[in-house]
Amino acid sequence: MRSTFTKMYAIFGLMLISTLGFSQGIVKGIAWDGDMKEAMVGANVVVKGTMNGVTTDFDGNFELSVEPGTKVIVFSFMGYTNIEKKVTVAEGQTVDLGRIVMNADAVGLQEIQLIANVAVDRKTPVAVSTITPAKIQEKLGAQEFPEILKSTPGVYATKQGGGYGDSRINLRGFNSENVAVMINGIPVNDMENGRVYWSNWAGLSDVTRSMQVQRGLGASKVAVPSVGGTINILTNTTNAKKGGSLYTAIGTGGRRKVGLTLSTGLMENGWAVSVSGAMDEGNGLVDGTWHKAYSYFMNISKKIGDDHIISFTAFGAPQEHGQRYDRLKMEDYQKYPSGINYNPNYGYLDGQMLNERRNFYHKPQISLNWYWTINESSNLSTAAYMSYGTGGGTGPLGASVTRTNDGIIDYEAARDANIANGAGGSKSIIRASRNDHKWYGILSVYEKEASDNITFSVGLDSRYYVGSHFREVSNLLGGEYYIDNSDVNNPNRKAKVGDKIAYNNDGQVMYAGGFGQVEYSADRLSAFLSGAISETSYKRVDYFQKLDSDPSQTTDAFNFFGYMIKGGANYNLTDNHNVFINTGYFERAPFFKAVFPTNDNDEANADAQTEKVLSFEAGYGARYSKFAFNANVYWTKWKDKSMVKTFQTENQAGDLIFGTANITGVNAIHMGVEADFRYNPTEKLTITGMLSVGNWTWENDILDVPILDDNNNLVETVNVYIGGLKVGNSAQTTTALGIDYKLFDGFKVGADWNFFGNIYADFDPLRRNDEADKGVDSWKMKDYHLFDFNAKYSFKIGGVDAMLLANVNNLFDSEYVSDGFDGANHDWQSSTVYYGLGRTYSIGLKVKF
Amino acid sequence: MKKILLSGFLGLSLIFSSCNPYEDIHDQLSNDIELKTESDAIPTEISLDSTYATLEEAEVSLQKYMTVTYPSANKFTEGKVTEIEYNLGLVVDAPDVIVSEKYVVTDADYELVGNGKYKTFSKYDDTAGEYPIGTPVDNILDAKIDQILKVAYATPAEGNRVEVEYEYYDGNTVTKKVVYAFTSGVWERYSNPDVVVYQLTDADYEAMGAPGAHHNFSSSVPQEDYLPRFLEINYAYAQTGDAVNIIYYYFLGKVDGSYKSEYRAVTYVFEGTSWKQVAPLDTTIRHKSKYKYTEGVWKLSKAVVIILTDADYELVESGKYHNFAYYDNRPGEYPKDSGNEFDNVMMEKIRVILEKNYSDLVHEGSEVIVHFNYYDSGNSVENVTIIFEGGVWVLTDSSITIKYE
Repeated sequence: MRSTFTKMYAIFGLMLISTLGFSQGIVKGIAWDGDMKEAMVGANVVVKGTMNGVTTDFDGNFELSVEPGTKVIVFSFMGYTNIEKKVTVAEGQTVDLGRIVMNADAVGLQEIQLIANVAVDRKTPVAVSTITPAKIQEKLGAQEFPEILKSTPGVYATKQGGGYGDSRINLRGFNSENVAVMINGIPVNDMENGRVYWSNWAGLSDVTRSMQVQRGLGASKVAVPSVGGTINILTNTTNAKKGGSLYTAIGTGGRRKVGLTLSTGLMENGWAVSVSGAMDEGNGLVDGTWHKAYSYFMNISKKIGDDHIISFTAFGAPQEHGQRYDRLKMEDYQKYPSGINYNPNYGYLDGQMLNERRNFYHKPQISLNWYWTINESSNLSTAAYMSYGTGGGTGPLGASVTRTNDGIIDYEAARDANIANGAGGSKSIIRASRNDHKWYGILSVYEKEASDNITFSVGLDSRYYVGSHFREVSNLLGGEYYIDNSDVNNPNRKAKVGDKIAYNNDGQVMYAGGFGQVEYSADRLSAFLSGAISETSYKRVDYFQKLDSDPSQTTDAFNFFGYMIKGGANYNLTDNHNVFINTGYFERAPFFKAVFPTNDNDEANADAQTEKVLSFEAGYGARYSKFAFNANVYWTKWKDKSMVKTFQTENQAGDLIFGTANITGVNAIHMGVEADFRYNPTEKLTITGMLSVGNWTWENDILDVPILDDNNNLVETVNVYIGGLKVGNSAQTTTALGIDYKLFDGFKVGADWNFFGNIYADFDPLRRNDEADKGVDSWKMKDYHLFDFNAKYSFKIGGVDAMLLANVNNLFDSEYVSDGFDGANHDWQSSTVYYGLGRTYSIGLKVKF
Repeated sequence: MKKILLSGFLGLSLIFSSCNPYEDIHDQLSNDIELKTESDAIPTEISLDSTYATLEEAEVSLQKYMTVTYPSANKFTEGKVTEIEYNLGLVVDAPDVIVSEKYVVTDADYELVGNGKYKTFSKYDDTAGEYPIGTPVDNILDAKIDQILKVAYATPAEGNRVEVEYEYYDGNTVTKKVVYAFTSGVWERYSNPDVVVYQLTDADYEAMGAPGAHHNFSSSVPQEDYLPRFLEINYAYAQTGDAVNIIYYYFLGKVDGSYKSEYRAVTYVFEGTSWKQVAPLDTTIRHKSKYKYTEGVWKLSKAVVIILTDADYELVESGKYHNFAYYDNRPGEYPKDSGNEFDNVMMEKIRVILEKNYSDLVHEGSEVIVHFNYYDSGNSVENVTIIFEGGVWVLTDSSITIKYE
């Protein structure tokens, strides 16, 4: 993990200020990462009690001029335990301290990095960007968690509607179902639809230790849907040192945040416990997007002898927030005084704000990890985990509600109408669509160094998942009940708050996977070849459409086989230059919805196609003491995107039924160039930059696809005119430039410029059936620039370390469209949009003890 | 070095900070919204007190009225239909109420004009001659009565009328009543070739029965109930087209604390078999006309505006969301899987809705503007204007593109 960001840290200091004219001695050496077994870049080396210090360069070297005498030299790096060395230096003498080994200040960190397949610089042949805890602290501010990544190549992250946790991130133009997200090595993409809901993890930033984006196929050994890339999040484990911290912040929209972390440190009995909790609330900048959120985290670790570590982690981030759900045409925002902050999804009832789109979720994730160092050359890491998600989102149901002249929902009128309807029950209600789930999994990796150069690893990845999907009455809006006739087991029910309505079904997913990898590592060359296979099995249980007595209430299992093979190599040309390539191919099981496209147990689509991905990538890296540069090119073909067409037909008994047909050949090609650099001309100044140019297009038209019914009769033909159309929903060109400047000791300011260009509005390719629209791209949204500012001041209050953090995002209050969905005429007039948030700020204080 | 970089960064921020990418669009939108607001402020229903005799007269005037009253009509008003309610028909005011005073020629008057001997006029007066001697006149009798009235009324007002009662000898002595009007300084015999003016007498009221109680009409004893019959009796030989102005006394009831009455006039015309009141008269009805703003001009529209209801959508397989959608706005089958292909499913659905739920609108020349909910990446209310010509509905206007491929 330290790999890339150590480089970044080199920034802060890489200047060896050994140019002093008067008589001095020199202390030199190499800082060494004891966990990663590599040079420690950017570590601080300071003479204790003075401001005399340097940071280590990209090779871990340091050279510090000191006045003659006996000094204590302190080595520090965020996330690592400080080391103090006493040294006596005579005038003109150079003392070589040799290798100073620094170890992570967290228990089990090294082991978790192994499970999580964290990429190592100049060794793992993938394109990667890593965000350190320090950067998260400095840059997060009021931003959403994924937005921290916006200055890295290939990333497009937005807040969508602007509600708390409603953000999304696309990598290389792929949306979340093609971006693997792993937390501590555990995959969290939804087992049914592959998506990632960041609102489940909105509070996670408080306990995140690092975040690494591996673009493209990535380094993960397990079969994950990393078409666009992999986001690898490592949470805190347990601090090796006793202590804690208290954090409080305020921000735009009445935002308040308080957090506390306590840790016992690694005690002599081998136990270590860390707990943290945070509370976050606010009214939001967009109308009606209030939030109330908590996060908690606990880790208990125990070292058993020298060979075993048992680590128990539990974390969760329960939250509830008002959403802006409906995208609107630009014109509709301009109609109301709130302008770009207008939200059509809320109103007032009895003087209380009522948002029809309320999201609430709590997904505690609990894992028990066991790290066993079997012998010098082999180890076994196992994580058993479970997560219980409960929650969902509310929305309107029944007769549509009216609006006041201010454009907000007239709930008073809705309630009056409901009351007037008397025995007919409520005409308009608010329902909650629940998506609860229970997920159990085990992930185990055995690693064996077969020789000095070759390491084998094998593992298994098993998961069992039950997603429960149902609607329930959330608010009757003044009525006594809501009449629902969806449950064949309970027809014409008068449903009250909390009763299930509309639909109620389970999706059961069994997943069994195995994987293996061979790594070769010699002097300058490192290479790997890995493969994974998986079997995904889907069952559907319908509690509403099927009688309890009906055996077809639960379907048979539908099985799909997937596999992945990938390989790559890195070659270090010199100490300063390296090149890498990687390639891979995988087929993955279709999503649940493709197997049950009509939500009907009787109409399963057993022939749903696997999606296929083929990818090539090549990269180059340069590392100098003051300058680091990465560049890479990629080509990814996404083949046979799941496309299921449903149609009505007659079965043999003459009844009208729905039929489904799989349409193959919907392909997209994403290729591009990515580059980033980091430059520290002086110790005080750091400049970072990034350029990412993508060319993401749908490959070809699909013409005259015959849709046949069970009797081989032609039902209809389908044309999809998407050939050459730009992929929407992501900025194909992004650029970033950032500077950090240390004004004086302890005070640092930073500014970031981000550019987003070539953004096409999102659209559903399957809907491009109109030949007249052939070749017409979706609405091209306007390019935009964002400026962010941050400042950090570190100081001491009564002997404890304190830190003041300030952030301003969208400094110039630019009004820009972050998300657009294409309209009928492919222009701004017909498209619906979300605007990005205006200027936001946050100010926080952190005290460490 | 770092100064260069810093100033470079600041320069960059100045370049980009000023640029709000959507500024032009937002300006255009707020301008459009203003225009829309103005356009929306134009009422869709207007009620006027104005009266027009004919539809043609109304069309010209109301078109002008809309143009002058709503100069704010703009491109967003295009297609808007405003319904104006006004009076169509005839209003005839009551004839002038002219009550003649009565003057009975006295013995002294006869003496004054040289008829004192018999105290009567005769045929020798009712002829051209000289009066006084040396002054030629058309009619001696009129000149004598002029002299009498000038003595009786020192300062008459122009138009004053007096019913003069005198004795006349023509073999027998009869009493005559003749109305004289003061015109241009002379009392002249009053005659109206078209209208006979008759002022009801007490005897007339009494002869009619109930009106005789107070010698008047009132709201409970209306003239309409009595005068046609009165005229039949008293003008038994009237010819078609003959008109009579009847002056009558009308009891108003309590006004400002005291009982009041007034003279009123009514004109009846004989229409061959009966007498019809022709003045005062109000034949107007409240009439509604629709004006549609088309290419910058308010034009009379015969179109009927309908807004589709949930029941309408349910009739044509669009009941799930109570709207039409982009997938209706294209060629296809309707009903689903029926094998019946149509150029545009949505238009076919509208046709079916009109046929089943608005059958009264299905007739030659009928123009209908159909408003409906429409979904295409968002909800909106759209409309089509269609005319029933030659047995089919012909599309003449629409707020969205109707797609045929």
